[in-house]
Amino acid sequence: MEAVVALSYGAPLAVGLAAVGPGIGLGLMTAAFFNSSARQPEIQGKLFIPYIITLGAVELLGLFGFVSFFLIFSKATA
Amino acid sequence: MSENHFWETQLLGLPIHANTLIMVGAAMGVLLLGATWLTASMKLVPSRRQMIAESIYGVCRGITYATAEARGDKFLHYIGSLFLFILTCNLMGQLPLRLIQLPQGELMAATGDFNVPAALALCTLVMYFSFGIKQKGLSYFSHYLSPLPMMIKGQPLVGQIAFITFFWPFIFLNILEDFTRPGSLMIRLFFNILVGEILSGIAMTVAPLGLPIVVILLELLVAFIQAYVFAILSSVYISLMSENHDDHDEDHGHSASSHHEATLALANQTASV
Repeated sequence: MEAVVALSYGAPLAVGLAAVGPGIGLGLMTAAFFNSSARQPEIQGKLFIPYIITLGAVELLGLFGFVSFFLIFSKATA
Repeated sequence: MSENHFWETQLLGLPIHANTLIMVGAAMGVLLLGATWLTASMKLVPSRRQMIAESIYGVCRGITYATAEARGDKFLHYIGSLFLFILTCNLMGQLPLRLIQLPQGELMAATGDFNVPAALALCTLVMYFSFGIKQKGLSYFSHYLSPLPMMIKGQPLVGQIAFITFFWPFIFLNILEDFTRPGSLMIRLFFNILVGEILSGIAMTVAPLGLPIVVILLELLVAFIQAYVFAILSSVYISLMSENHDDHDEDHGHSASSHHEATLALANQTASV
């Protein structure tokens, strides 16, 4: 029971911490995307697809924190 | 989500999630009826209905053309139906389906069930294996040795042996890639939709007036982005497998110029038509 209490504080914290890195990454990426498309608007169409692909890759890291939250919590409460 | 969100029954002796099956069937029905209705009377000068169908086709072709250019037309049918199916499933999760009472569980987006993204990711895996084998034959499997043939080219025998001794574990990395690619596709789609379901549930309990609208707007955006990401990444994987050995190395280097040339060729073609 002690472990469950500790996890109920720790696991949400882990999700928050896991969101920090992808948050910074997505911010840098989107800033660069908007900067470049403001400097050279015709490049926007070309950059959009790589932008979306990288967005998916970066976002996955944040989701891993969420996955581990579910895995740990379902193990602990079972 | 725990098991009480699913309607677990048996079909032909196999355990199934009946609510997910209902939603998948509904999505397929919507797609089939919509496609039949939109393409009912095709003419050279398009009517308004045909304009909608052509713009949807344009979006799907844009995905394959951006990643594989003219080669992409070979798997356009797969990527297009993947994109439209995931998009329909995601968007149908935003309908007020919880008003419909089921014996057990509740109706939610089909992609929010683990099994649907897993099946779609496996389809992509099968597609890129079959495309690679179809394009290159059995020499397709030589890409598992990927960096080694390039490294030992032009080396003396001692160098070749040294490279092979130190770098043979790359084979395991290349094999691992076949598992991580569909795995990451599956996890990305599933958890994005699941987070949306949980978030709208929380918003419904915190502030039933107003807050769910904001969450649903966010979810509509996420539904489009995730369908797009899934389709684009599948297209990238398939095109990587089916491309020729010649342009494998300098793909990133000359893709801009070849894209430009292809666009010019397409423009000339349209002009001549």
